[in-house]
Amino acid sequence: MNVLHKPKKFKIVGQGIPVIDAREKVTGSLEYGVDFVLPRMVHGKIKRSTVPHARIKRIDVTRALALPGVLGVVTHEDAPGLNWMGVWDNYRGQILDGISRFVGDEVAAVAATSVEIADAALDLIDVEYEPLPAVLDVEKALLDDAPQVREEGNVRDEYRVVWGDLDEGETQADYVIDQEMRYKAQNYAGIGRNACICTWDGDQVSMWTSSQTPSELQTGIHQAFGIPMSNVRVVALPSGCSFGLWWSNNFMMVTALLARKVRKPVKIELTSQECMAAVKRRHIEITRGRMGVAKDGTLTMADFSHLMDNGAYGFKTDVYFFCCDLWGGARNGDYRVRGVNTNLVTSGCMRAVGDITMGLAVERLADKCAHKVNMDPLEFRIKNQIKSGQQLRMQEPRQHMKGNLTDYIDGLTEEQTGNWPKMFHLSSGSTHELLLKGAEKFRWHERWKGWGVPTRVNGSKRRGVGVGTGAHCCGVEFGGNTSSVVRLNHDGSVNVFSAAGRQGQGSETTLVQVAAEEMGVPVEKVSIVTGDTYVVPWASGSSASTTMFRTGWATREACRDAKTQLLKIAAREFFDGIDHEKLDIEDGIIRVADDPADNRRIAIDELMNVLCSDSLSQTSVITGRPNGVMPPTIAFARQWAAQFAEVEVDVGTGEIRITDYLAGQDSGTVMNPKVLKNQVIGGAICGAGFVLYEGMEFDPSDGRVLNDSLLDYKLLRTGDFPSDPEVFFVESQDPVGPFGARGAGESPAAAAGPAICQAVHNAIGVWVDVPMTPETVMRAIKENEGPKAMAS
Amino acid sequence: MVNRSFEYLRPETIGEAVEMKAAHGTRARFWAGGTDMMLLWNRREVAFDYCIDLTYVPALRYIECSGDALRIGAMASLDDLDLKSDLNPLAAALGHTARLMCTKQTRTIATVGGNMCHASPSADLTPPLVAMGARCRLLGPDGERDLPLEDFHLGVNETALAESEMLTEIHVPGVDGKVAAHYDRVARTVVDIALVSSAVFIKVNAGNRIERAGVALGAVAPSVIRVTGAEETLVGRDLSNVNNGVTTTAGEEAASAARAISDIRASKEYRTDMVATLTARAIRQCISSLEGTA
Repeated sequence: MNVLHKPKKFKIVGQGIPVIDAREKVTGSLEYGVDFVLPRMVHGKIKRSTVPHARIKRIDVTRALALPGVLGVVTHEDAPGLNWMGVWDNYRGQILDGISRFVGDEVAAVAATSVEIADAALDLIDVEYEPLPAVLDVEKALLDDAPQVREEGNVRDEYRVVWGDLDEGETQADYVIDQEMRYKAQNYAGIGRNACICTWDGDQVSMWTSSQTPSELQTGIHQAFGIPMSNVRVVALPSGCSFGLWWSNNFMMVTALLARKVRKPVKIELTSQECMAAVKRRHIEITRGRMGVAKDGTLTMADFSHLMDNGAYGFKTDVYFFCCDLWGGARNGDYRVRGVNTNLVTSGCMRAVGDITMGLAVERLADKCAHKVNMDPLEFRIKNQIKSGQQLRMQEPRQHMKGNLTDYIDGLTEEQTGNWPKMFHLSSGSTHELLLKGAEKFRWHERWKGWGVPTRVNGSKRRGVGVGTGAHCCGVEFGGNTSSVVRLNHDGSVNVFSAAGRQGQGSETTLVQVAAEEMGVPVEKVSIVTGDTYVVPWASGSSASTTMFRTGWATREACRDAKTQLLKIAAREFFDGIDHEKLDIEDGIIRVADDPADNRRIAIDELMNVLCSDSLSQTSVITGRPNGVMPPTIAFARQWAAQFAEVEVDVGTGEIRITDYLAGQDSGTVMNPKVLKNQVIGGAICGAGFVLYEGMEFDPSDGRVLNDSLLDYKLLRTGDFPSDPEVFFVESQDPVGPFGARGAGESPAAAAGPAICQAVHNAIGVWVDVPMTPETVMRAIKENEGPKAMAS
Repeated sequence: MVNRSFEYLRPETIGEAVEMKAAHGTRARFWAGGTDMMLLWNRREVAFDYCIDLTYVPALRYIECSGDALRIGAMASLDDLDLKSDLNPLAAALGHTARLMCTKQTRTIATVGGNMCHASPSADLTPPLVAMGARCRLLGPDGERDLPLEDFHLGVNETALAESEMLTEIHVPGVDGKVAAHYDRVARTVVDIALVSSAVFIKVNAGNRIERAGVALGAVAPSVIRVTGAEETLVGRDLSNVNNGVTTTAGEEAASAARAISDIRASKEYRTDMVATLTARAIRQCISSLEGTA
């Protein structure tokens, strides 16, 4: 392990403390959804559709109900008009509406005294389908006469980012290169499964499930069943790796329906096949693009058109793809994104959505331009990528339901926006320093031999190096709201209440570090609740690289608020009415800051005792919450990754091995270098898997998932990646994020693919379609008549 | 019907195991490592009322050289193969093969006998064993019989085992002297089954002339294919005479013998091409091992 980071001016920020649940994880005592049980609990199973598109003509549950041990069955007849909507339209639709929209869609569910009985009862439910025409191809789904998957139609509005004038860009170009890239859907393929446990007592609904979005689920239940949010308790349990999979899903809503039906706690535990084929996946995507380049290496135009399938219940229209900002140095640009529904399993946001796909196409086309003008890919990136302070290309991010961002900002008062960073300009960081530092560490200039030139040839084995870059957001406003509450107890300890997921990204630890730093107390004195909607304020959850940036900001602001309250009392009671802003807390002791001569000291717990005494008639504890409005992060904050790879390609078999890896990350201040290193390497492996092996296969006749297990859905294991990849950080301080920190989890996934693809190109002299399976590599070599000396 | 169950039997000797199988016939299945059987059970692809667990029959777990043969007990684990790699050059080749299979954890459970009885077309161990000329010892109430491994495998998940027989041993006879074997495959990630594979065995006489050769292919037909054409190309040649032309010809023989199909893992064309590449490479690997020991 080689983490190149030195904590500076902070006490707790920057410390590589172990994650707070390390012991529970290692000893196996951490409770995930599948582990959770309740007294009197019964078991549910879901009857899933066998056809891609159909109306349920008749459903007969008599035989199932007759099976001893079956307690109840729910069908669409129990679920009239139950609509709900996930954050950013990742899910939109009805619960059991009598229409099957993909093979595996929920049709009915059974509750029984055992899993086995529930399972057996599924076969006793007789469903008669009235088949409807299905559309299984993303391009065909666009056509006017295509079967329509949804009442709203298949095609969503186009999302567009435009600057300059493409025609002008074409005139300025010495070369214009075009390209099409197609991406198979990536499976989240979390190793763990999930379960949902629900109780329905009166109008009180409680649900336990592994989730990265507890509040979204609370809202979903409220929307679907019309129950006040105050009566909906969601307890989000740790999920283990999630990557976007365990946002809210219909299987959770079906569990609620069953609990309502049988009035007992119901647990639905998904099989791994259900997790891999019936919940959610990344979109199937196609990017067509043209880029223009001048002989001096200036990108004069970027013209991209991107299509993504939403599957059955996804409804995305306005994915923010940050590659257009990353390559914002292009003089003229036009990026268009469309979403379209198909009769395939629902798709939605997965780690580095858009930037892992469209971003890869942009990087590859940029590489081809650099090749055309014979420029080093590193220099080409430095020349054409955005720098800190420059204008962002994404000027009008919009959310179709809530208006656009400029309207929102115009409506705010100056008091609210007074100290905001300049809107629509990059506040901090870029790939620039990452590329320079990385080049030095990787010995890039020594190892890169030119476009399509291997660094080493040994028989059939050819090595090549590549560099790739990636960007992503640091949370998204509009539906991505966040908050945090802190409570200061009598003894000076602190409780933090923040809605966040526990998906292995370490947020429960890094948020504690934020609170401890701001409150001036040791980490051991801070405890956090992330999942219980009875106590945590609403927040969109851990998605879109939100948690450190936005929830971290809210947590720090809440601590500031509590601290201010505390210091005001301290100033009055112990410091002779001194301005409270002159006080500070260190290791739980309040003192006058910046005045060593003043030896007055009071511990927080002593002060809290005063606060609680009857004679002062004050409250029992101090509660803090954020004051003010967080600036819209889309309008200034990005996270940056630059990664360097060396690969070895066997030109006799097409097998690719990654032999060396260096990942640079600029996420502002590093809260916890161990946690961040994990995020960066995890992201790189996710991106590497996507371009090397991963891809869902659908049956062309009905769209069912053919590789619904790890036998034929190939994930990279640690053995497929260099055992000791190096990670380094550049810490360009963010003006808004807590202690200068920004988001982190997604840009590393976006940078890996371009680096590895370029390394493969440099090793064998041809570009290979993704995923670059051994067979695809051999086909590319043959088609391009690559290395003549095809070693046998 | 709803709750599936079976009676668990635990023999301690080979004799007890055979008796139990004879007593219950098709209602009983042997349990070796269970790594495949567990999946089949969970997917409801097998049904049985008696499970005869062979884990506690020590007489079935050994890997040894005796006389001119390498003998592997049916309950030797894949990890045992790895650990016994230094026994002789063939054990080394089987150890190398074992290390390509699944993970260390699974290898400590999975057995050689179980792997053979599951009869998967992509089983990694079958091509090297067939190339070496391995034979199977089967034991039933009526006595023992011995047949070539390639005759033991009849098709996908299909073996020559009679209803009451068990596989007790795999043995490779006539492998004293100068021998080498090599198995290679194309797979996707480090933990994967073979998309296509090839194994080569070569035995040379004192004068370094090839006196026996075996070439076998995996994952290109319902059962392992033995490529006699490639073997004939090699037999009778001096080691020094096996040049690139010879390995290419042997590879082409292998490719023409393959009956590959296309599936979601790989296409027929790719598999066929790779059979030639892998076979030629495996021959060269054997030659260089033999030259090293010459």
